[in-house]
Amino acid sequence: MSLTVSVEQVTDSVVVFTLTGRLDAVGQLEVKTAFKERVQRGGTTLFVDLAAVTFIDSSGLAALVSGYKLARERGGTLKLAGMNKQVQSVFALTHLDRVFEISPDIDGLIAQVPKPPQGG
Amino acid sequence: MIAFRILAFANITAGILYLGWRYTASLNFDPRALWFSLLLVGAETYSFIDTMLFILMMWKPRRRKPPEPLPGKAVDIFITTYNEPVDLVRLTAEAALRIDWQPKHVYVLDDGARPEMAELCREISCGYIMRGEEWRGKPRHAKAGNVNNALIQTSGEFILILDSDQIPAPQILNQVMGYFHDPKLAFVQTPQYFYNLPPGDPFGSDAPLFYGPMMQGKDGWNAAFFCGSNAVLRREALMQIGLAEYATEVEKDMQSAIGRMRKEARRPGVTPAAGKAARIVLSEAARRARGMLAAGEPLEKAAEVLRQGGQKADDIQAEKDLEVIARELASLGEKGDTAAREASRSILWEMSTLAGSVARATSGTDSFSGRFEDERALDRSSEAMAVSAFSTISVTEDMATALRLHARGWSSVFHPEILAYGLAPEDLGTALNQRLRWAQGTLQVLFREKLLFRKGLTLAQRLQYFTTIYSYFSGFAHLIYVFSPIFFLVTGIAPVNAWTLDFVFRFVPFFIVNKAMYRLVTSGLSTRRTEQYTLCLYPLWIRAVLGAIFNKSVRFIVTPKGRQNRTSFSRVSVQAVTVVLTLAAVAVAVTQVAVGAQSVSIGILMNVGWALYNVTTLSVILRAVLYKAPKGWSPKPPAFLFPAVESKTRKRRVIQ
Repeated sequence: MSLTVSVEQVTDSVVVFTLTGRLDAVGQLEVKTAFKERVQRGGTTLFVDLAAVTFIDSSGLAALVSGYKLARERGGTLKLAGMNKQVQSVFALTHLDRVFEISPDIDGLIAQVPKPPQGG
Repeated sequence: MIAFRILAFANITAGILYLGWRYTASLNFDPRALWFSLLLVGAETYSFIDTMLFILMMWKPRRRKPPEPLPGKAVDIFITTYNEPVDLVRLTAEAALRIDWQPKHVYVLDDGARPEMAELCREISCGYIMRGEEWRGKPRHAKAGNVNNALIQTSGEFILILDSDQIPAPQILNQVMGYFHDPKLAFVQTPQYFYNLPPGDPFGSDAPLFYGPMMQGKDGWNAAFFCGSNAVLRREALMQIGLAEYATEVEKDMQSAIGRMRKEARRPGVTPAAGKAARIVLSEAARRARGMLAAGEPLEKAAEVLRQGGQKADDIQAEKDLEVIARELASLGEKGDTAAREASRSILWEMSTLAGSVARATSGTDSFSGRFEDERALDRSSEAMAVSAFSTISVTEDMATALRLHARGWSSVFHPEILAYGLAPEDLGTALNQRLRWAQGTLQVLFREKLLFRKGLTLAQRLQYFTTIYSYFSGFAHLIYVFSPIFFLVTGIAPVNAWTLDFVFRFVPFFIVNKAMYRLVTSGLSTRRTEQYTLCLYPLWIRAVLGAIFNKSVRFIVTPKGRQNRTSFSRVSVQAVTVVLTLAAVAVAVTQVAVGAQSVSIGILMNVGWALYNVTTLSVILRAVLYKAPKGWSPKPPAFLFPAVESKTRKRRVIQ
């Protein structure tokens, strides 16, 4: 029922958030906190995997927008991946699909990340 | 009645004097004896209150004479069966068809859905009703469900309910229908009488005290009980309580949905402003819905108000969230994010409609409006039938149904004439199961649904129901009465500070007046077995009370008709142990006196007498285990129930 958030630091600036469950008024709190924490530690490119999110409501949307804003203010961005139909329809309704970059799956996003220089 | 009231007064006076003395002057404060002393005086107090409740019950008994019949009213006759043999049901159904009344319809309510039962009904041309598809996978609610299922498929203004073994007399409706001249009368109960009582009634099934003076006493307070069979009920009354209960249930569901919605409004993470606005909307909707329910408006409408309130709250929530989103996007727009700026503008531009669409698109089970779509919403889809006239909360549906009728201002009648002849359990085990089911079911009514606190009952009616419940606690008092003499005879520790003549002179008059009063009430009835079984069943009453308190669920056990297997001694092991311990205690005391370790005292004499009384009484149930019906004893229903076989054409004639 509730939401779980797992966070993976891909590079110093790239962070992947994998959300599982319902992104609603209850679940959004934890997401917001996670965004804030990682941005403070230097994360600027936030990838959010929504593939396992079964449901989103307006407060869930607001949480994603707050993460987007945090990232943008530090010159980064927040990208989304793997939306189910319900989530897609809400994004379309609110025109947020034109604000966010949305990929079909998270691996596509991670693949875009330039490899950090090896060794040295 | 005057004699009763004089004896009752004497009884109360003697009781107060005796108990007053017990509390003030007789307690044994020896630390080894104090607990014992308090337990015994507690049990005695229980019994005295029991007597006072009995006096209240019997204060103005109503002895009825059948009034002029009320002709022409349609009566549906329901014969409820689950697994009883076809031949048994046949006796009852054929007798029901012979009841002298028109118009009437006889239905066999077969909860066993047996083809052979359907065949019987075709053969003798009576109605056959079984559960339909709508019951698949839903709670069946035993007999209450069976009757409710039949109620919606039939239409007679009155209903005669018969257990499958209760053979009705032809004049049953002529005798009782007249009472229904009173438009507020909900039901008439007639006695349960058993034609198969073994000689001496070894299992204490006969209940002439209950289906006589006690019910007449309750009737005097307009609190006659409905006992599940041999009763005629008014359909309108049943439907009314069914609907009222339904309304109450739905209202309760609504209230809890409102409660959940309001809690939801305070949940963490909801924008405080949105939460506050949503709460206001929800409370407003709740207040309006409650007002509508109170004004008797359709539940559907009240539900709609709530649903709309929930939606409005969802809209407010969505709107507040969208405002936040738009504001954040706008601030990004100022920093040059054109996509964000545009999205922010469209959101604000479309806000009036967008909030609603977002709210709809995101209304899940957690949204305010979604709260109404759960399984206990208006259609009560977890139940096969939305409206249940017969109370389904308890395995003894009868008492709860009567209580609900009384609470809604309906009246009741007990008609003391025997008009149906049925079967009592023919072995102890079955009798014990039946008693346990009744006791536990009755107590469920008290503990689970708090029916005793229902609005609408008069104080006297409430006390009548309370008396029944109170009496089941006698098990604990009897436990103390049984172990008191054992404890004293073995240890010499007395529950009173002295077994003196003082004690005797106070106790004996109280005891005699008490017995005299009960004798007066029961004069002409054989109630010895009932009395003995009150003590004999003390472990069973304790079990019933504990079961009800600890919420152990009780299944509706269909009382088997006919003789089952021999009852195992383990069913009465507590009673057997009690007897053995009591006899041993007497032996100890007698030995001590014989060897001169103790002298004969009032205490020893009284306790040996008490112990022997307990042994004699408890041995009744031990003998019942071994009981075997005398050879060649095969009970038959009274012959007058079966007029000589007539030709089909003559069958329509009045049979008296």
